[in-house]
Amino acid sequence: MILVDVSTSFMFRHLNPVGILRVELEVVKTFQALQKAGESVAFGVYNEEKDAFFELSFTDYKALSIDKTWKNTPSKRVGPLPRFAAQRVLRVARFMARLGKTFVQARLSKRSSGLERRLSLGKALTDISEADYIALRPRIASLVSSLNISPTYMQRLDEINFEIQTGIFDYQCMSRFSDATRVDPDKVTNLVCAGAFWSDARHKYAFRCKYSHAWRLHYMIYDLIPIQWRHLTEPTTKMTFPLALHWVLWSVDQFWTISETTKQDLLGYIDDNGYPNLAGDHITPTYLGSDIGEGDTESDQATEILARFGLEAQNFVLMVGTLEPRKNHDFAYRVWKELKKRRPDITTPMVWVGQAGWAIDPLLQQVVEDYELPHGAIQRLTNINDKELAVLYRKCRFGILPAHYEGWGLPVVETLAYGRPMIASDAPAIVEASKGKADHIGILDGEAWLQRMETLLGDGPDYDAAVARAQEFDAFKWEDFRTQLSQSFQDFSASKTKANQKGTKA
Amino acid sequence: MKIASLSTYPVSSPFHGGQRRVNAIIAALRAAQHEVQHFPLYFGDDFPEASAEEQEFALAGAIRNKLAASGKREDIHLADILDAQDPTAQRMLQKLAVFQPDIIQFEQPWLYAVLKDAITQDPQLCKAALVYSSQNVEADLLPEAFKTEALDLERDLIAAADLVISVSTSDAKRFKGLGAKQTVVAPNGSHLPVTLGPDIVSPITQDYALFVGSAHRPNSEGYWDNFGMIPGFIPPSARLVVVGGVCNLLGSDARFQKFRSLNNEVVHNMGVVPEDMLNRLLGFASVICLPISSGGGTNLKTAEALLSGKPIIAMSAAFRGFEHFIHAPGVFIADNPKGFKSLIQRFFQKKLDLGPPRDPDPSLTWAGTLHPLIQHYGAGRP
Repeated sequence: MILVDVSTSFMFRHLNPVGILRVELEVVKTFQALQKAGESVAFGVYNEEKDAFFELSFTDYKALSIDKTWKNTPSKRVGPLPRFAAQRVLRVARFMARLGKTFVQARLSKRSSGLERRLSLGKALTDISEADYIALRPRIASLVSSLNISPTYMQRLDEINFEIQTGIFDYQCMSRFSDATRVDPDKVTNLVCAGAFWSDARHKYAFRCKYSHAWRLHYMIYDLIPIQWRHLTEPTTKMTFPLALHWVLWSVDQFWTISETTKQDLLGYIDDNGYPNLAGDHITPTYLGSDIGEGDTESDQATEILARFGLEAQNFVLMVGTLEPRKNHDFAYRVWKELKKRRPDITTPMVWVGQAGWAIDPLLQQVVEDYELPHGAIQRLTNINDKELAVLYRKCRFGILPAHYEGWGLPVVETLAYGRPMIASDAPAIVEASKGKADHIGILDGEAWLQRMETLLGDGPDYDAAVARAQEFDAFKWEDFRTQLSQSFQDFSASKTKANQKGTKA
Repeated sequence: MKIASLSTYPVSSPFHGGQRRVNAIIAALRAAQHEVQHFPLYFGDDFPEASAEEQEFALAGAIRNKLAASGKREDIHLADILDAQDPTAQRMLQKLAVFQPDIIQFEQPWLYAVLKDAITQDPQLCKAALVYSSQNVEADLLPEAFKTEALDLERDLIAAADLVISVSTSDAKRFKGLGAKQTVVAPNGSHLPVTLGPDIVSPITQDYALFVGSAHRPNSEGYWDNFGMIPGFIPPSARLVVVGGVCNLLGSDARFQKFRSLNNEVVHNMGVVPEDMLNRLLGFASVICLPISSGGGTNLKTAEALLSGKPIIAMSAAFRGFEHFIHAPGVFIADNPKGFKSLIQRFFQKKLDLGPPRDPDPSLTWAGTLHPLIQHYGAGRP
């Protein structure tokens, strides 16, 4: 049986399937097709406390990750009540008593599992409103501190509260992670993991199963940024990723990478640090698709979407990606400010699309406070859905990505796929992704960026040529990704079977 | 004969290589019926484990603070701040005069610079033969800025010495070139491995590669050059165990901290451990690593590793003075970091041919390696 790891989709079930979740979704589709063709395939979620995988039906996965229709709340959270209502006082008192009881039970009974305690806390929190929890939180925190209870208790409580509020709290966790759904490691032949294997201990479990149950392990590697560019990586991942990759490199059978650049980075890392050699054909670059799937938005819908954001078609520059130091919004801001200074007649705004990531607040503050930066010269859009993003790509004047480093450079291929010109840094994976259809300028050459941006903001043959070049871009499709993934998996398995047969004969 | 051994460290509870060598020399000389007294003039803060007798000659930390404040080193510049009038040095000289040695044997040249005048002016002490016992050509190991000063100190002692004890023939040749009248080669050795009883368990749960090193800069540089920041060559089911003062240089290093979650799991920095723990760690090690690419003299860790019978992964510099053991079974040599890491990785993957078991060679024990010195002293005063 092939076990496809969907733990990351389960963990981030409140998010849209973008980035790594999108890849996990495409991997699921790939192996679902193999299942239909007769392969034995199961989808599993790893639970760290039980140190095992638990089966998730495809219907559940689809509801969770694709349709976003995961109905998992048997009793809705209670609503707020007037401040002095007796019923409210009673609720709060009952909640505090349940909290205490849960805590004491956990201390007294070593048999109560983490899942049971979590469920118990979840039920208690469901019976008070969000407003009541926020009001009570400082008191609970000081109680926790005065009783010398670990601060992680409050973190856990906040996490559960968040899950209840966003409707993703798992009231069925006891049955979901039970013996009935536990994946029997004896039945598994291959584990396919395209998710964030560094976020829990699944890589250690897989390592053990490789040696105890002869599992074959297949991992997707996106990049080595948490190692090679750790100074530009958020603090948790740069600690957890190198250790998890250590376990993976000592147990992996097959890797997929999202670019040739990542493959070369991985091979270099293996060689530099003394990891066991991996044959080059055991690492297959598998390019991600760039079809967002919302490309047929009616033109009046597009106009309406642009109007909502206060943008005009062909008159904004687009930069897509999580706002974090590695993407180099700082550079984009400084170049854009300089351009505005030299050419005050240019009123085109630059639009940053993406959620604020780590260590970006000081820059955002600078941009907001900058006296010399014309009002509206840089705009930020967050919580953009696929339809809106497709409109932004199609209607922008050109896109930019001055990133320090990338494992692939999805915004580059997406911009080009929509036929819009692109200026990007010369980071190797970005150059690889654009297939020669974007302008690549080093991020130490600010003058060259200024000149190229100025050119593309003007109407003339240079701009038309840039558009024509972008329109020649042969976009990557998710369908191609699935075909390539499936083929390389089957080729690899066939080569191993052949080798085993040879070994047996010998 | 009455032999006074002088050093800048105590040796009653030896940790680093220099201490262990002096301790072994004293034991071997006593076993040969010589009357030996050891006089360590040292900074007390560095050696809290010194015996009560040795503590009599511990220098106050304030002296070192003065040296540090003036940007000087505590070895080659010791004589700049300390002279024979210092109360501790005075106490030592008095005891030395009472002992009336036939031989005064200096470990390293630093103390000679402090006591030279007092010894030559003392009517009794000036009659003693002077011996320079050296584990390295010191000047060769120091940074460029200090080489000339160190060489001057060494030359000074060599000129006055009746005998120079070296650890290798190549060092002996160098000392001859510097004017040594007479040399004797007594390489570093080790004690036979302690047999661990059946009730003794391994201090580490996993299989492990062992690296032992003192807080000597070339040891930590050898670690970074050859093991690097990411111990990818150690499988998750094994560990790299580091023992000795070198741990102090590694753990706090930014290179260790960068990937600390990985290093904290894979690398066990045990620090300085007592002798019985070191014996246990040696006894249970899967493989012993000697990532020594620089330095001089011969390495007593090499003798220790060879005597242990364990597989050894080393750089050829570690086998200086032990060249004829380089092809012994279970000895693997690589002279570049990639090759070194690859050997360890292949060892844990059971891809190295370990050959037949290696029996301990008695010539590697202290009794064997110090035999030429004992013979030399047995023939009378140098």
